[in-house]
Amino acid sequence: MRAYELHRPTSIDEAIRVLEEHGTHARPLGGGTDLVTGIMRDAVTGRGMPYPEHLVDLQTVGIAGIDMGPDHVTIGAMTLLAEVSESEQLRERLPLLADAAGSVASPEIRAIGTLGGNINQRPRCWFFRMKDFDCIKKGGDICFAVDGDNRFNAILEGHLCFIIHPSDLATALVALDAEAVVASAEGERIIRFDDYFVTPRENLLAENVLAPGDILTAVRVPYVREGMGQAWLKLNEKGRPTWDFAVASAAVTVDARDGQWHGGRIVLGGVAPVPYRASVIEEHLAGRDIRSSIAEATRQFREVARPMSDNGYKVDLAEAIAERAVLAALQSASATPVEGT
Amino acid sequence: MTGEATMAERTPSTVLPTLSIVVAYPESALGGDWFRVYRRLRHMVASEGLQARLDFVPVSDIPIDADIVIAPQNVSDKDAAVLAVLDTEVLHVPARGAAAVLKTLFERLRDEGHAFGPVDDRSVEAASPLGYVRHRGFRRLL
Repeated sequence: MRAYELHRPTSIDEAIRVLEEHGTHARPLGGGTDLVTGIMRDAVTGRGMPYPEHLVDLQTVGIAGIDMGPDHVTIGAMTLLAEVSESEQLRERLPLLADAAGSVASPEIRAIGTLGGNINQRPRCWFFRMKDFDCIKKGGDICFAVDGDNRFNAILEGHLCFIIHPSDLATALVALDAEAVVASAEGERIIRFDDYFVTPRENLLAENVLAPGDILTAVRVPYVREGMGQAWLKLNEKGRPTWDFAVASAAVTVDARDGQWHGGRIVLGGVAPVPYRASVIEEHLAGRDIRSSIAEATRQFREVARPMSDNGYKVDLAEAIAERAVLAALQSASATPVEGT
Repeated sequence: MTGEATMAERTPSTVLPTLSIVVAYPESALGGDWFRVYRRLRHMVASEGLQARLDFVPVSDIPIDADIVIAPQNVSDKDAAVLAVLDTEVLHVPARGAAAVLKTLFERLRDEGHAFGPVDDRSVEAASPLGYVRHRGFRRLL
């Protein structure tokens, strides 16, 4: 790994100043489990993503902690994944989020990795991660996954580049209709996670809307409404819970009345370059009895999926995990804490 | 003799291109559709034999000797300010539907007398690397 300069600012303004000064040559540093021990160790560089010669350590700027408000929880971007996972208040109010955090990697990594780092980590694709492959995302000409070993690549929304978004928390936050609090030289802005992640069609150089100089400082997660259920499931390539990245995951919130779908979100991870909201399943369930319609509804996913030569199995996996997660969320509905209690 | 003449005709021109075309993309935001515009243009340059140097750079790195800059239609104010002060022609092209605009550009370049040499098959091949295969579902698109 090449040398880099470590900046330890004492305020967000100072951190933004350093990031602005060095542009794409600087990166904000969370726990470093992906950036330092992944991207930098493996020298993953390319067009628009030079080697980070300046790391801006956010540990010293005071953006960690969990604040349970009256209608939403604010979680600082530097909050450790272990804290999110083990917070009793989060487990009670937003078990979906706590479960997602608890499914990330191993206990050791959760004790170092941060919420912000997990959300903003670089994509998974072994061609992207290996320095010998000058893939399209790194300024090359082709996506090697198209004609290569693509068993773990995207089955949706690839468009020239078939990375998958690896963040479990990102999938959960989209399902919970959460918001990102982003600081920049122009001030603070709020971005819904619906609008936070971008596909390769929108930007081949990044996976989210953050520009150089932007810092994700916190996430705001609204509490789920009374009567709504929520569930998180994650599978690895053997179809079991895992410490590894998700081959397929599902984050679901369900507003069910008399067993019928009256709203909610079904978001799939590990299948697309962004957390993928499975609107096609939601639309099919609308107004229908969930238990009797879920199998047919998840089959609609087959209509939108575009698997490649070796990852057709992900379609089956995504359907199955979506079905299980919806039913688990439905089951949890009666146990969901009432808002404001 | 006839054979030699044919060989000479087929030999790609070794004259260095004097025309510089730059495809510029917004800083830190290269859309997939815009990348395809660049690839389309690169293929057109090779397949029509246009004697031109083609670069693909962010707006902030546009070389000063560029003759034509091709930029997206919608750019940020910051990028627009950079493009506005360039002492060169800036052609704003829609990411989708670029083919017609680029075709018009090539017709214009022909009318203006820019050099179009013999088609270099090797360049065409380089512009469309062998091995690039597309799939839709399980069906391989040839």
